[in-house]
Amino acid sequence: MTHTFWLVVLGFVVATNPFHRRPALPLNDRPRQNAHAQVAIGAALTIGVLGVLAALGPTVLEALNISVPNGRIAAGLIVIASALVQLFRAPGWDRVYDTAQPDSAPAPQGSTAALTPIFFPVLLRPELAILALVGGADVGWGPVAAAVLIAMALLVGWVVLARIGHWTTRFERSFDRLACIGLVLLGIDQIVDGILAV
Amino acid sequence: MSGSEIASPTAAQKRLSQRFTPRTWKGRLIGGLAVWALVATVFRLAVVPTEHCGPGIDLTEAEVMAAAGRSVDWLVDNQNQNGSWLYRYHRSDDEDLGGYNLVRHAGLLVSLYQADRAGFDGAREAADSGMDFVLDRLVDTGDGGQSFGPTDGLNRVGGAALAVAGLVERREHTGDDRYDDVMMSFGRFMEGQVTETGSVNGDWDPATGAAVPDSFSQFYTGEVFWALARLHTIFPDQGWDAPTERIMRYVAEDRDRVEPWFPDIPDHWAAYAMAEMARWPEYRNGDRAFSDAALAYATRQAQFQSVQIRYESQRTNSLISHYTRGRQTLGAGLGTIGEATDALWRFSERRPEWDVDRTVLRERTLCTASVLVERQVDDREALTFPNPTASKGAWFQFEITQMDDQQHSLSALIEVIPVIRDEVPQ
Repeated sequence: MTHTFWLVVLGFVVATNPFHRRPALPLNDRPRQNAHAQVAIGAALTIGVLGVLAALGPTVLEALNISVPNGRIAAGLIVIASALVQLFRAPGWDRVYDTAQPDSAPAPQGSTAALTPIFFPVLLRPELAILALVGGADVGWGPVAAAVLIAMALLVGWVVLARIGHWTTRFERSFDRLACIGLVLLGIDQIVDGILAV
Repeated sequence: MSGSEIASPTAAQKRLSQRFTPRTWKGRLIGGLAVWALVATVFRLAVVPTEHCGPGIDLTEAEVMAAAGRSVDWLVDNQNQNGSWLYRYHRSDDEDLGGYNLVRHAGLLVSLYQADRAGFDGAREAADSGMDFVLDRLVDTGDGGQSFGPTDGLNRVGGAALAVAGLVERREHTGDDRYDDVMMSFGRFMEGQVTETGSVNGDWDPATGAAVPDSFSQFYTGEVFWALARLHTIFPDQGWDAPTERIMRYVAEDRDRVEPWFPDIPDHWAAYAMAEMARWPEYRNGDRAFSDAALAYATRQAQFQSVQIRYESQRTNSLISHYTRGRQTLGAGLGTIGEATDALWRFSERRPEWDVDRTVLRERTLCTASVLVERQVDDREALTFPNPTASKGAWFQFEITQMDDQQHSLSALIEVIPVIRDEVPQ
């Protein structure tokens, strides 16, 4: 885990990747305000779970007999795998942008959507979970919880502010790819850090 | 908003999305759970299996002493009349596989004199007998120098170096000066093998009466480094510090580039040497200091040893472990990790300016010792083999043990005792 707070924040922002998540969220099939509230609730749940994982990080790694450096290597590999999947697979685009096609997998109506699909599986991702676990054991619960909070706030902010149009979509796709590349770099950093740790 | 106005995903992305995106949110939920389960399983099995550190930081001195005692017994019981040892042995076939290595012979002197210092009966007698074997094979190298090796072939400087390292151990523990002249003559030979840059010629040729230029060795450089450092500890007025510091600079700054080695050599002998230098009064009273490059080198060494034991401790020889981690390493390989981490821990305690996480370094050190204890053949397991005397207290791979498996492992166990006690010998 990178040892400066802002690098931790950057790591969680690119791992959260608001530009990749927003298209996968159920935003178009319900009133805008309801959709935003459900995303905010899903984000709050994610913050809570990741915060708990960060707090449990040292205990969990110890129980599994995994040293923090080896945890970093695992986190790096998961992060890279996730970034590569995201680079080559765009789960939301075919459904959200191509209005000629109906939503292939409509989300449940009402507040249930905050739990699923928003909280899980869209926002709570394996790469975030392992970053929180290892980060909690490495740099402590506080910095990780703060970083998750900032990352989720950015996601909710982007969901609320984004007005989908030609340029927004291009911007979103470009930054999605940038975030994926950032995620790969983060993964490499984690692996190198883990290998070179004492 | 029209779809035609908006940049579309690539064809490849669309194909992948259509193939893998579930048709319902329930499907997506199940898919998500399946992904989590798959990731967790694959990573637990293949990426972060359990690090089997046994008791780890709770390892007791009694456990270590018991294991070291078994190892000393092996060395006492399997010593030949002429002071040499059973070299390679197949436990299931009860077969002496033959061969011998003089440098490793000298290495056993180190281990046994260390064991003698730790209070193991019989260790000094066995080592002295091994020393007699050395004295029968001294070769005059000129200028008052002597080597330990054959008269009709290349002499490896590592033999003299490890003999010195062992004899200094003996001298410090017993105060007996009977081998002082031999140590000094070995020292002169070693000094002649050290070049102006600090590199060490590993071989000396009796036919030419000279060092073989650029005969670099992965091990001898560190062995000479340590031996000269030890000589300066007990003979501080003989000038052994100059070649020692030349080697340290070379090892820390140039060796891996010049010789070249990639990745850098994990050098437990250099770790011993730096821990020894940290005892010198010049470093303890602040007259001299380790350079930033030397401290950075110590850090790199700690990193190498750490990643090795973190990896090695994951190996169980089970089917999955075999295919994802490979077979368990040799006893000698594991022992050298232990020797290095022991020495680096001593160095860290003696030199507070070395910026390293001492708690973590201690954890790695105790993990290595725990793995050594667990993998040693104990009394009960030894009874399952045809010759328990040649099996008990040894470390085997593919049914075979070699005497340096005991050498490095025993040294690692002896030197971990201060780590367990958390008290640094000065």
